[in-house]
Amino acid sequence: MIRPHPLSRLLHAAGLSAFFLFAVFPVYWMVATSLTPEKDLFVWPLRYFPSAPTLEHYAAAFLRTDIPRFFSNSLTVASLASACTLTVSVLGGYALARYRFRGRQATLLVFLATQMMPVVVLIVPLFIIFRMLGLLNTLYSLMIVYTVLNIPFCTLMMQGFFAGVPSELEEAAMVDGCNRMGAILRVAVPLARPGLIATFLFAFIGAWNELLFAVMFLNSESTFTLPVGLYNFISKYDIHWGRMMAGATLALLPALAVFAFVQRYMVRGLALGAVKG
Amino acid sequence: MKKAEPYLLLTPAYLLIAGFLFYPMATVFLLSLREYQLMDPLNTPFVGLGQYAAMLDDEYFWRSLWNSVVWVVVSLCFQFLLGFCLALLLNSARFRGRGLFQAIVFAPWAVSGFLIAIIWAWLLNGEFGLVNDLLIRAGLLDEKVGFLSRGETALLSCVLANIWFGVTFFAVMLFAALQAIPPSLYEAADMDGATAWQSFWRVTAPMVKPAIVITVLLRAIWIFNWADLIWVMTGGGPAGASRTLALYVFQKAFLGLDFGYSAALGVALTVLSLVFTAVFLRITRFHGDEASI
Repeated sequence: MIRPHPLSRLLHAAGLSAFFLFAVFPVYWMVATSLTPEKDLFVWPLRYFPSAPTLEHYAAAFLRTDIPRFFSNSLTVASLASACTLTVSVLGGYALARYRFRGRQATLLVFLATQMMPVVVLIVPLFIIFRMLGLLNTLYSLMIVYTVLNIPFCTLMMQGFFAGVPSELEEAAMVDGCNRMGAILRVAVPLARPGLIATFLFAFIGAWNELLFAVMFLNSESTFTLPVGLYNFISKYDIHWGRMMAGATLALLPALAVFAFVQRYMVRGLALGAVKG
Repeated sequence: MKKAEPYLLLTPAYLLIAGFLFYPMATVFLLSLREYQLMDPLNTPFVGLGQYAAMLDDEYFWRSLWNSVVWVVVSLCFQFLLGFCLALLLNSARFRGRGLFQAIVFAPWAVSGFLIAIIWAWLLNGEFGLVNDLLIRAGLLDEKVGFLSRGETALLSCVLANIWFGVTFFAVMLFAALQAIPPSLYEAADMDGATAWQSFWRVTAPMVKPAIVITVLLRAIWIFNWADLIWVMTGGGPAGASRTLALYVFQKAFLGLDFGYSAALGVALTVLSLVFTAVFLRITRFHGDEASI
């Protein structure tokens, strides 16, 4: 290894710091704005630190808007949808990992190809389908959509996790009289638990963040998810930026917590090439 | 019985994907052949390729297509260059707390499209936005600019937000590829007296090239189809100046309530995506096996 020149080390540090600032500053600004008293938000030139931090915007977001309801709607939809996604993906992923069957290659290819379908195109036909089913303006429509959109990728993900678990234990369990389903549930699933958690959280983030289907399918405030609720604030004429940023911070927190957890699985998932942003 | 097992296990996935992905996708094409206004769902006359003809005459269609090209190409160039720089820096840096640093720098990836849009709309706000403040302090601007409300800057503002988000993606992918290069290759290059420049072009570049190709292509198609960021930031405005094709599909349905025309635009978007996917599969010579993670 060549010993790095001091100048190159300096450039190195400068480059990394620049990236650090670039990555962090917008998020910092969101949080700082959410903590700045209303009257200090609109002074020019701007102040970079909230001089007297306050939780007034959070209080306003909780007490004077429907954000708590949006939050619980989002939580309901995202957790149920990701639970459904996980169930389907575990079964499918197991099949793809443990069996060599006709159509396996085609299934893998099709699942991967669905990740390149322009999702926005599905909004109109799904709207028509859900209108026929009478599910418009309910959270069920979103649960179905989010479940389905996440299935192909999560199935591929689970396939990878099962492939990494040795199959001998399941065989032993079956010799001992377990049937296949029992072997999956009692042996394979517990062994692949980190993968299950990662897959669940991936699906959760996707559902938690989705906006366009929700905006199209929901039209009464009682059903709004958090993205739709916040979007409605922005589309109204007079935007309360402080409250907005408080809401945005609240929306970001679960995603960041999940991110901290799945970060190490991320590269593996990304390498497959199909993660939505 | 044993032969049927994998199919049984995959049945839920097959059914849901067929019912809620492929069936709707197929109906989009049929829908595009009809005139279909949301407010008048019982009166949907068959118009054949009429809406496609209208599309070719629609200046907003061509404009949105051009905006899509700008949106994809400019975003990608910067995401790739900056992401590669970050990956190289991370790869050659040895310092304490690198794991934490990495987690923080990669964090924009967890921020969703609509949050990115809200954050950047506030940063670029024409009255009290931070970007205006910084540029004026630096002497680069004389007075405040409404970045999102001006035709020349609206799309580029969205591109900027997209770059912020996407650098991470490239950094993660390329960093993983860099970490996978065996150190012995660099040692060998060293022994042969290669300069740092030479070992970059002769060792690093060829080794990460496959990862670069895959990442760029996937990202291109994903950005091409991504609508929510622009939708929240500018709504495609002013006067369509920042409206991409993907956003046009959504807006025709959501605001125009013209399902038939939206479907025709959607078919155009899908065909372009398919062409791109075919190119992708060809270039990367994708085979099913490689899908196993």
